[in-house]
Amino acid sequence: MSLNLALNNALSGLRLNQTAMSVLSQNLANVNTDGYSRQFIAQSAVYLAGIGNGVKIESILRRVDNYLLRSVQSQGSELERSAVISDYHSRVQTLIGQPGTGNSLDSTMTNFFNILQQLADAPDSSASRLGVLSSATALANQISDLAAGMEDLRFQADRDMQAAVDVANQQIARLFEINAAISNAAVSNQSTAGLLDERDAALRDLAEQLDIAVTYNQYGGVIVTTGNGVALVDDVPRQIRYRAANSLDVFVSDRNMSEMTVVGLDENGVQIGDPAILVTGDTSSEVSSVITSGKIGGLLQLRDDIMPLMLIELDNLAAGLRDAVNAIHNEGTAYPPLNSYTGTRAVSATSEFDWSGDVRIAVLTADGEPVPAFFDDEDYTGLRPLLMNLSTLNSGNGDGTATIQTIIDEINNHFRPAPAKVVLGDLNDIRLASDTKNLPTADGIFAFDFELENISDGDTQFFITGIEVLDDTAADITDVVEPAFAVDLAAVTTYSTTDGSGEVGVRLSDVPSGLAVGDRIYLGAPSIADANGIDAADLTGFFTVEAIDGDTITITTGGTANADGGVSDATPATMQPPMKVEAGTTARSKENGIMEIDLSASAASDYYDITITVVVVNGDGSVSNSEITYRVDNNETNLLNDRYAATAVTNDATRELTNTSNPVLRALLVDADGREITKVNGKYISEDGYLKLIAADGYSVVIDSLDSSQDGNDEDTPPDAGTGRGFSHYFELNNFFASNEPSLTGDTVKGSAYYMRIEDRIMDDPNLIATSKMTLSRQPTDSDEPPQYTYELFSGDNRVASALAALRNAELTFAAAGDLPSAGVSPNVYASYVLASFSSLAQTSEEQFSTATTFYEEFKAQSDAVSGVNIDEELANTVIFQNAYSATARVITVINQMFGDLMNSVGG
Amino acid sequence: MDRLPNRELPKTVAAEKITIDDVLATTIKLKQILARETDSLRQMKVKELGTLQHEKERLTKLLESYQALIKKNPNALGEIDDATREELEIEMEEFTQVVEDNYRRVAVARAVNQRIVQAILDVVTEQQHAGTYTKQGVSAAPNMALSFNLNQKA
Repeated sequence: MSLNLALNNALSGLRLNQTAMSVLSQNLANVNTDGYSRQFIAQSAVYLAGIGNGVKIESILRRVDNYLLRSVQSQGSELERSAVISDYHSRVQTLIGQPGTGNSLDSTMTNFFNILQQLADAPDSSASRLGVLSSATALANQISDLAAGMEDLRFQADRDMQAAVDVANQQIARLFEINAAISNAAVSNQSTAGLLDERDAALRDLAEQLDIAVTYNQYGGVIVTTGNGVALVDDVPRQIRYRAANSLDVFVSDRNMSEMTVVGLDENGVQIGDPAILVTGDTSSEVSSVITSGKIGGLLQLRDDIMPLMLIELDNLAAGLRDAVNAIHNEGTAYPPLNSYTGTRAVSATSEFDWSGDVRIAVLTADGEPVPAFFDDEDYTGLRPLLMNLSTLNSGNGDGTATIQTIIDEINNHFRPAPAKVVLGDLNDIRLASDTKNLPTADGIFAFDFELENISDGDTQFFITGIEVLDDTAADITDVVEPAFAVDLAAVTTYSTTDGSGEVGVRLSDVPSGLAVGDRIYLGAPSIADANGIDAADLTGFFTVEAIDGDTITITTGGTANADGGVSDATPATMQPPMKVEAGTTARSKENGIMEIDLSASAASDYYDITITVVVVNGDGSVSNSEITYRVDNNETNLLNDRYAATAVTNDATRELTNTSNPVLRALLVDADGREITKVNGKYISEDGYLKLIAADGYSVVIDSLDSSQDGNDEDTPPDAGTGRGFSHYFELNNFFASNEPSLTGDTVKGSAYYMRIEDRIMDDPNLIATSKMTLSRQPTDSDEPPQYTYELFSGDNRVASALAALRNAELTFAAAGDLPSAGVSPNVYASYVLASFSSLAQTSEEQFSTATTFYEEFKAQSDAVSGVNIDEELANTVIFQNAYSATARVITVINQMFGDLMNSVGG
Repeated sequence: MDRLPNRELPKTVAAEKITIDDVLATTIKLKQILARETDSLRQMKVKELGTLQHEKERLTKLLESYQALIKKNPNALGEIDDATREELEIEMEEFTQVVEDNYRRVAVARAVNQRIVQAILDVVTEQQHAGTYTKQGVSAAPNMALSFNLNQKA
């Protein structure tokens, strides 16, 4: 320990005592009562400001002696308080062990990361996995054992408090009896000397248990109260009542503890009057107490302040380590992969949160290879994973805000084969997606968009050019409210022509964001007959954007202008931008707008056949057209985000039928026993369950959380900031360390150390330790072959194992906890902070105990001196002590500087 | 190290004269003084404490001179062998213990003494009724600072 630290500790102990002394000094004027202890007759002169004022020296002596007696009592309380705290800190030090030794926390943590590195070097090695399991278990056990030991110390402190209360009650009863005996002796003129000695001893013993204040009644008896005035000894027998906790779980679970009260008793020992509360019966963080010193005061401090403060530092370390490991572990998968994952966070299907980012979920074979696709025309490839864009999920309250039910539906939609698909040009599947919850709706409006999959090697552009709706009698009830991609439709305000050219500058009310040169656009028919000789028909249809200049785009028409200049259209046509679908992606067209049709003309129809005229501009510039019909049943609920397969197609499209009806993966909510929770109309009710993803027999599920994030709910009051965790980590699907709080709140910091342990499934099978991540399948070497958009696992992939091993030097963010400020450091460094904090507290408590002992000895020696206080000598000593104090302070200053310079000088 | 406590210390410090042995010997002597002071306090021999102050001050001044010199010229002590460096480290550690103990004892003794003197002052102040009568016939005791000169004759 450095000199500075040693002295700071000494000083802090001193300050503590000075506070206690100050309180005593304030009480001094009240501790004497005239008529008591008139033992001195001698008088002396006292001169104040050079004038004798007749103060009686024996009065001063007597009261100063009394002051010393009170100080001995007070210091006895303080000594006991600091002694018990110091003793418990010693026990904590025993629990921690010596830093740097083989079984110390820092060594165990270092070993854990070393073994993780071995796993990264040999990710397929069973021995490495066993090693990781063994070292992680040792680490988790060490942290949880330390926390359990500290909780047990709180339990012991509570029981010791009960014992201290028993001792205090013995002294309270003894003092009550002595008071009566003194009163009787005074009446019968008997000597009370022996009784007074006995009383002093009882007061000292009582003061050792709790801080007390003593005054005297007119009969020479004592009135004892707690430091803040709750009567303990007066004219009524009293008793302190306390019932210690009956199990360690009271502390671990942070339950309410018993209150400590003082009650008055009648002659039969039955309580009279209301109890006075000394210590409230709350949880440790809420307990308030009027006892500040003595053994009980120290034990209370240990139980409710010191130990919880140390535990929260340990919890912070455990939570930081657990969350960092789990975040990485949830990004990866074991190899070979697992058939199912079940989360440990309880969630409700109706809970709605803000989400962002993407998560990728794949179903693979047990060997980590893609499973067959659902359609025969895809036999050259396998089933693509679901890339779920959480930012666009919508449960009715806007994009990026989704219920757990919506997430479950989205997963099931992907992995449950549709009866048919539509292939049109480069698009592999065009499905209608409902943006309406229930049918019929009150206003008759049905909103929808499309899910478009492109597994070609070129980017495509998708357009809607017509909508027709028939009811169940085949009557045409078409009433389009929003025709197509409504949000991005722009109005054509002016056509600018050049004489002799077919090139036209089309001025738009607004150029849609994302529109680029080379994109295809669709222009609706203008209301004018022509623009400087270019017919309206030549201004209608698909065009390629050749240039963009401000709000004007340039196209080339099939006509030829006969004049220069601009022509306005009083009833502007619309310009539809393309819905772009990049190669290898699946996208919802609602990103460009949602279509709405009014069905109220046939509100009672059993179903509606919605025929969409679509145009696909393929990657090679070719154009494919089709009319695709979807049947939407009426009188249905929970339709939001449901997908519809086409029932008929025309022109360039083909309709392929699925080769299977079996889903390859199911997402569901299960209870603690693994049973699916209750559903109504196909949806889960508002009941907590655990998310389960289970692949079909022989298949595996693999999750990569990518950049997904659970962002809470900004509609909550106050707004819930969320966990910021990725998809898998949020649901705790693939944790390495078990969650400490399997509830809606998920992991918490509190209790993290005590509950630190490895997930049971990993304990049972170390092969479940995640080491790798899924990777895009290798592409065909022949460039004429179609690309592969499947993902799979490869032997030897160590990305997750390496990321776990790299945590050793990773800068993790630890929030402020206990005495430790927030820190961005590695787990090892934070562990050293925690241990140093514990050691510092132990050292401080030892210093305070030492200081309290010294104070006690000083006062005791003064009080016990046969001649009592020698005032003359005390005043003379003031100068000596001040000189010695100043000199020692000077020594400290010079030595501190000199030792530093000296060690620098000699290279120490 | 046995040679050091008996080493004659320099009266003044010259840049070219001091050695690591001088520094160590002075430190050891100061440590002994502090330890004696602590013992005196433990045994309530306050007068003996007073007799040690002169030597304590002299040694402190000497160390201040060394410190100034080393700060000015870090090479003033020349090469230090490993054994001496180890000796120095041990001495620093022991000194830390002794000065910590001494500081606590002196600080507590001073604090207790101050409290007792304060208690005396409080009692004296309380009993001092040298006030005056006001027009309303109320005793108005002056709230003035006291020069405390107590002549005790039991």
